[in-house]
Amino acid sequence: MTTNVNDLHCETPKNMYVKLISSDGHEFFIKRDLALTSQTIRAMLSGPGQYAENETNAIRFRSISSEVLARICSYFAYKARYSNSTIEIPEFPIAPEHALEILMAANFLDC
Amino acid sequence: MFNQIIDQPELLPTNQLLQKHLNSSVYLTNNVWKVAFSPCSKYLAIPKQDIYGENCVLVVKCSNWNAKDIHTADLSVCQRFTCTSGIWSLAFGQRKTEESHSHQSTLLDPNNLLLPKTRRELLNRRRSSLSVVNRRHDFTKDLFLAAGLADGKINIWNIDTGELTLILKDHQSTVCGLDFTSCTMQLATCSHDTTIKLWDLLDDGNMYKTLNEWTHVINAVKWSPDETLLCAVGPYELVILYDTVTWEELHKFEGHLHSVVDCAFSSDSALLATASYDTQVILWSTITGEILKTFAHKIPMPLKIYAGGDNGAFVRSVVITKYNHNIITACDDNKIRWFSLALNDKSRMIYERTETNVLCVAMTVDGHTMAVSNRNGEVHLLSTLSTAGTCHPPPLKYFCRLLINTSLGTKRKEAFSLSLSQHLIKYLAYQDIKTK
Repeated sequence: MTTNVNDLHCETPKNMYVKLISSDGHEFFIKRDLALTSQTIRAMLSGPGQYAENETNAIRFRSISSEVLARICSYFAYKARYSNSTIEIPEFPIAPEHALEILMAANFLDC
Repeated sequence: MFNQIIDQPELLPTNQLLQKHLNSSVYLTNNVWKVAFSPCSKYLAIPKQDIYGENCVLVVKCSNWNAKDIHTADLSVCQRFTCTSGIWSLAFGQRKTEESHSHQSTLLDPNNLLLPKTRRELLNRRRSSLSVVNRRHDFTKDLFLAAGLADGKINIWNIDTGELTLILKDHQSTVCGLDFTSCTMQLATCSHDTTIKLWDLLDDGNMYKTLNEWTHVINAVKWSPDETLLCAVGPYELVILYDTVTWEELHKFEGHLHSVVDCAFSSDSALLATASYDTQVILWSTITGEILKTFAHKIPMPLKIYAGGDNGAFVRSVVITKYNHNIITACDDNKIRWFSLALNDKSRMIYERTETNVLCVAMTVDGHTMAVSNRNGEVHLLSTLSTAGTCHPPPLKYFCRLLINTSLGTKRKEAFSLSLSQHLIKYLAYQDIKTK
């Protein structure tokens, strides 16, 4: 398969990654289809243009801190990896000190 | 969401190997009341009786019960222990060193580090000065099997060395139920002599407490996975939960109509399922004490007069699967049923399987395999991997709920005072699966 030099310089499609911003300013870039695991994010990103996030592909969460948001992004990857999987699904580890915040964030994000 | 049953639970290839060992002409067909898997999921204990009238326990070892190829599966009978009388109950126990349980205090109140929150912590405090050197038997390392016998004795064998380590003699009559805690080698036993006794094996088998408030037999005892609760079930619809630190009665559950014979906790100790001769399995919340769901085995539900008497559908055994997706029950109408815990509409049976004269259902700790035993002396191995609910990872809220409920320990009631919205507190108490 011949590689085209142009392919090496092409950009990823504009919509492939989304940016999630925590309350303390950390920015997390994750693939759009992983972020869509959360029904809330899916609604924010595909709504009828009401949300500004639709244009910029970035969502700012004023109530979710960076540790919690990092864990949530890990969960998206875990879910995508083990959905429809035939091998044993391992447990998703959560640090106890963040458990309450992660519960509230997961409830908000519906994931 | 429920069109995702990939495979029905099937007999495993290793089942054939097991039958070869069990069906040898040396053994009589006895009622196999109970089988037990070890915490490491590698050993299975089966009580049998041989043609000379000797009662024995077979310990079968297999490193992978779900192996596809029977030629590579290494299933073998690794031990055969003989007993002086009939075996009524079996349990494996192994000391586990703890992964940080100090996190329990950070969840609720960082200043409360001085109070022992669970029996496990209480014991560690007491035992910090006791060393293994002064003990006659060392129960801290190996895997042990305890068997409750008809003459009131409890035999404890070391599986690795095969020796009979200890015989506990205090019950006056048949020991019909026993259970080990998951980490600290405490043994709870219940007997036809109407008492429950608690033994501390790390203290040389010292019996430190007897609970004898009844005049009838206690059918079964179970520790909760976090060791903060002890559930005792018996005739006259008895279901009692004890706090294991103070030994007060926390809840007395009312709702069954006949003798209750088996119970099972969910992995976070927040749910308790009890199986009874009144054809029902009831799911209770250990936090609020209310009934969350009932699972009927005879439809339509029998009238009270039949539910309380001979109805042909006694439920003998119940287990909750890993991650609390499903409940599996064994009933006298020759069926094993799988019910789902995830839905909150009517308690739906998702699968049933015929097994004549089934007596007991047991599951491995890793949740892959289950064994069912019956009155014909047979034990069958089934896989549980692909039943509904296990092919998708659970939602994140689910894991948070398991973790928070496990961390609460004895302060379970304080779930209501956590700084969460009402909706989330109800979620923690499993109100979302409650039948409306």
